[in-house]
Amino acid sequence: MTVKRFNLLKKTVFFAAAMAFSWGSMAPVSADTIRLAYRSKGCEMDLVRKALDAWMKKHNGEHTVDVIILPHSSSECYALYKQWFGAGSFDIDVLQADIAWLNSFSDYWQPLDEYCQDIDQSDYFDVIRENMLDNDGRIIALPMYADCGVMYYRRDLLEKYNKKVPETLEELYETALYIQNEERKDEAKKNRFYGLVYQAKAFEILTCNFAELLDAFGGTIVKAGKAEVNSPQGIRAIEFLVKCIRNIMSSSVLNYSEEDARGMFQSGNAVFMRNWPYAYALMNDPSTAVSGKIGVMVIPPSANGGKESGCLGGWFVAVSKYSKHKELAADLARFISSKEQQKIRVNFAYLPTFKSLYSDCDIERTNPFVVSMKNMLLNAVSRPSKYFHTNYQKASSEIYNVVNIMLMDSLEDRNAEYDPGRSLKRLNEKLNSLLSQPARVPSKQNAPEASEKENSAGQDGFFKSILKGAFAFPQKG
Amino acid sequence: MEFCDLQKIKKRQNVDFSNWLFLAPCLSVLALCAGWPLLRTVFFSFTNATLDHLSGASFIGVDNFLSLARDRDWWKAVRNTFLIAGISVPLETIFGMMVALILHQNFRGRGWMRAIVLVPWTIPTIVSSRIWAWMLNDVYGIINELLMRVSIIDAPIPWIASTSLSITSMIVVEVWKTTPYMALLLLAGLQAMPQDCFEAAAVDGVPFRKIFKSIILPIMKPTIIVSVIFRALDAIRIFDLVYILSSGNNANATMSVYARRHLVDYADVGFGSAAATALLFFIAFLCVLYVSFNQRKLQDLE
Repeated sequence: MTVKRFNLLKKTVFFAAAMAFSWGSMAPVSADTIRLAYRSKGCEMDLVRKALDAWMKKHNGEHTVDVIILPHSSSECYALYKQWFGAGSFDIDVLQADIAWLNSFSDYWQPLDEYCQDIDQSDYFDVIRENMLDNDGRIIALPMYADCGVMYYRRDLLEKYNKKVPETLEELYETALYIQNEERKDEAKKNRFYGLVYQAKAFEILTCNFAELLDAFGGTIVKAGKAEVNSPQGIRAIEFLVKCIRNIMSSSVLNYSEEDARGMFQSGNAVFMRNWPYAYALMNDPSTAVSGKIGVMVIPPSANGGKESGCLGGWFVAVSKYSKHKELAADLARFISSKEQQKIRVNFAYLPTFKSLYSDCDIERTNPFVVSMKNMLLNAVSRPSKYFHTNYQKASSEIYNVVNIMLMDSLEDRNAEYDPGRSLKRLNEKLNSLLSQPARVPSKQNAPEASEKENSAGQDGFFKSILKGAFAFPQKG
Repeated sequence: MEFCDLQKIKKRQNVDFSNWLFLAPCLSVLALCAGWPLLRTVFFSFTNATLDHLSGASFIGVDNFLSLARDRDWWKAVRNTFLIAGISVPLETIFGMMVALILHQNFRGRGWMRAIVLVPWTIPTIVSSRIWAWMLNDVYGIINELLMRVSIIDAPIPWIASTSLSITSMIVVEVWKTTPYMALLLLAGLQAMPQDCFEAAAVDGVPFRKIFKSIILPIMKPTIIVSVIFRALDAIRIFDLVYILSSGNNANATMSVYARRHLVDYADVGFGSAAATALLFFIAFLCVLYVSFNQRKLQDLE
């Protein structure tokens, strides 16, 4: 079938569908309704709704905000954004974005410098500021909260066995093994008590965990544009994980993500847990078995070189280039990422992105936990997303796949296949080939032209833009 | 005579036309909801489209299929898919037959029983897979707990953590889930069977094993073949169960999980469509092979 005939078909079908759905674009969208795409993970949605109420009040109710709820999983949000932006024009003004892929959409974010001239950029953590600016140094997003991998431990158990908080990974291993063996003498805990609980499901979380572990061993994933996982540090990091999974971790961590790990730790079945700060507030709920018995520390360094670590995470808000109300959208983005709003979120263990908030006396009094996180954020390590740009998802998936399979092989009687040196070498080659591949940047003729698109954005409703995506066809050339 | 024939033909033409008229709404919905996406997927598999640049893509011929054929992970996914389908479908058929034979008997509460048996199949797969994932958890899963209580095992088994075990677990859950479906199809076949053969056999005092081998199996053969085809095609595109029960790595992905990963996670619509198209070809090929293989036998039976 020729392209021409397809086009004809496309036109007919699109026309019919557009007729059927035209109510989508005819729905009353007043000039001052801002559409915000936001995730509903944990208590985030309640918090942001309160913030939105405050924002509407600030504007005397002149403007309203529509919230579009995003999927929980960060990678699903990523795919959704790809589709939305690919459709060319849609009327969502403000979007939440993960630090891991914020930069791969940099062509689609509206630079916010003109709306943010009075923001003191030096008050942001350096690692955060690096990510909120594009390659030309323009502000493309405003950080709402930061995240950082931490190690939780059971204070009561360390005290019970007279152990001190470990300062190195090796010490952590010994302590965990000792307490695990002691606790297992109790028949009820025999087969369900573990030294450490981790997340090793083949998902983004494992890339985070590997990045920070590598950092704690003094290695890095990408250095000066070249992949460096196949290093002595890389092998030591993997060997450490293997030692853990053979002795102090349940092998089911291979299928664990954050919430599974929290479930296990929260029911009192582990001494240590690697997780994000969000778990702190939830685990200290009086209904849990570990409430009031938890301590938090940085991911400790290895004894033979390395540094304290923790993988950097965090969510930003950005304004779409296709927005019809850029100024208002920027105002909303600024409002929900402002110091005042971040101070409210502190109570739910969302880490502020402003350094000055960590010396705020209210926060010091009510949330000493959050204040103690400042050092960890200063030590945090970023995932290598900026090196891979639009290829980051592929790179990340190579990493988590290889690490997950190595751990799996180390377990079974398939030990013959377990060879960290070979696996890491292969991973290194794959990462290097992704690094040398030119990232798929939009060709000029398809690049979003703000002025031209703005007009079409004015006419296209939400449904219509989705339909456009559904019927888009490549042109020859 | 001639006049009569002409009228008959005219009449038939009218019927033909109204046939199509009645079919039109259904066909147009099918074309829009199934035909169009299918065509588009095949079309995209020859392009380098990405999720955000569907219209900016260009044709690259069969490059996607070539790199698909070279990808070891793809062949691993093909192997996993056929492993799961190849083991679970025969098991489902055998268990389904057993359940159908039991439900075919006359006993009190048979109607209720038939409804209850269907429960595993009616729960949305995503929900039942989640439930199974919790039950199979090695730390707080009920299955390990039970096995340890009755001293079958000493230490918990990581059912869904290691590659070979997780595929076994997937097969078990798949069999649990779709046996009722098989049973339902086979039961319908059993009930359509002429009862006089059974009565004659009963009068002659033929043992059940012989009745099963010489009466039930031959008469049921077309039903069994059709059910197996249905299930096999269904099993080849298995997705949600694998998505939940596996730890997400390439070692135990199936074809549809592989296609989704490239289409959605990597936003690589061209390559992902090629994988989806290859899956379609597998299904179509098997369909044709199986039907043509059985055509003769089916005709013989009729």
